[in-house]
Amino acid sequence: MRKDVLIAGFGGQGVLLAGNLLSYAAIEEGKNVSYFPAYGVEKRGGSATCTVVIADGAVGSPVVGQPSTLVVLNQASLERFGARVRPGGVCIVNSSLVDVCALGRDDIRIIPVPMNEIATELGDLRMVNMVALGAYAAVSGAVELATLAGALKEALPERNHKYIPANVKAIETGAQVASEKTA
Amino acid sequence: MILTEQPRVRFERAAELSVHLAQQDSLEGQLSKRLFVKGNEAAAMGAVAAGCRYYFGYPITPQSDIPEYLSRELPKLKGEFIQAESEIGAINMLLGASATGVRAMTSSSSPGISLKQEGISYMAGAELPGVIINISRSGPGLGGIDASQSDYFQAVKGGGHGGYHIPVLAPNSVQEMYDLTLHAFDLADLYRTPVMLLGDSVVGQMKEALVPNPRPVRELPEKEWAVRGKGSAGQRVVKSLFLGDGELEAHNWRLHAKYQVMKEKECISEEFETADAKLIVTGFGSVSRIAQTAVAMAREEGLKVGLFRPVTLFPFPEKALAEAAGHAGRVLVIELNTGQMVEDVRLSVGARAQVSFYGRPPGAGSLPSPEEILDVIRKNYDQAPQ
Repeated sequence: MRKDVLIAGFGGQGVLLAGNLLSYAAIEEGKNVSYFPAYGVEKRGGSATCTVVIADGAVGSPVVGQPSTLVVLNQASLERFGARVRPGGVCIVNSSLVDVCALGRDDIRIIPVPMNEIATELGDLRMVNMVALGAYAAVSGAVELATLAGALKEALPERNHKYIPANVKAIETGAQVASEKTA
Repeated sequence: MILTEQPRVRFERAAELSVHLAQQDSLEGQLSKRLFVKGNEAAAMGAVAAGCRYYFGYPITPQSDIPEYLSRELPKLKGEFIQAESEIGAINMLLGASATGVRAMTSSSSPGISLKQEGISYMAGAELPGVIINISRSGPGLGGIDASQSDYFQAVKGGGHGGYHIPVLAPNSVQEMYDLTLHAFDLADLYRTPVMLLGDSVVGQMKEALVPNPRPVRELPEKEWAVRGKGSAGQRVVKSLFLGDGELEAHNWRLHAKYQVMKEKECISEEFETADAKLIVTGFGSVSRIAQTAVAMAREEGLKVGLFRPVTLFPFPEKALAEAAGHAGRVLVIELNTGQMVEDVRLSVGARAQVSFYGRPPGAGSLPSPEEILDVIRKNYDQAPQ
């Protein structure tokens, strides 16, 4: 098993935390993982991306040219990375902010999830990254939802552990909505 | 895609060191001990595990996680963390600390490493151990912070004056950032030499699982040269100045002999799918990880391609590479620069194989994807002797 995903959005959407949490969960499940953040002059409001590779054997390249799954949280990321998704791959989009019409690809599966709306309904827009991650876990099967929930303790500093139940709910809701779209 | 064969680590006459590197993929039974950390943090943890209690440095991206970690941890261990006034100050503090026989280190990134060259040369001349980590930037001058391998010449050919060499280790994973830092401290003490760990923002900033193995203890000589106060013993002097008749020449012959022993005993390299390969791909550090996936993809297409990775850049694993290249007949060198290690590859391989080069100059977006390297492999494979 080898799964790779590129998660992209703007700074402040929690893209890097999502990548970290996914990696912690993969490690918890005994897999090998590499988490590679785009490293440049990044800032709040600018672009934020990370690549996560999960494998039973050696991870190999932490750099992925054509991701099998792309998770995009904003329009700019779709425009920047949409063409790179591997033919036959999957693109999970935050349909609250992203219009996929311009992508013009019929060789990949596009799964729209209204992530902003879901997060806001659950009480806090900042959980948009957890909704996205739940959707990815459900679609890819890379890690179990329960492991993601358990890994929150590792990925979050102790002062934020009080938000874990709300984040678990966001992960589960993201997973549920994405599953319904793919059913 | 799953790699069909785990990398085979090859140690030329240094088998006792293989334990760590060879174990990195067999994690069964140790899962509870797996951490998830950045490469930079792993190197800092390795330094602490090696018994280093003294760090001197000046912050610079993309290596600042190393001083950040040590500034937090060393005081707890009754060690000393000093943010120096400059990189030049830091390397000379390292020189001073090492002269007393303690394990100490500094770290920086390309422009800062340039500033340290005078101190490194003095340490090489005075035969002082010490570990220097370069998580390099890209290009000359201020350059950029992107992943790049443009400091190979500086690291391997003696960045400072006087014709010295220091061992240079090139990790390509978070686990190796830890393991090779431990190894660097041993080499430094064993050979009384500065040792450099050379990485970039890929190996420094990426996070992977880390098993902080305790290191098998290597027998190291007593530091009978260390200046620790005269006491009842005789005076000890640590210096790189030799004024007596013939003294300096003898000193340089001795240094030369030491480098020959390193070349004989301390080469480390790793091979993947090389046994039946008609084309050997070679690269060090971050780019070797990308190449490894490209080689696995080439194998899936039925191309007989293998990967040879130098882990030590000095001493360069000449014999092992010449052997692998001799079987294949063709070598493709891949670097994140416009051609540096390729010179050592050509020297090693001689007439035994044709050598070609694919490089990406330093700069934003210079990281090739596995697919791009696969494309280069295909083109070179067509020209390989069948």
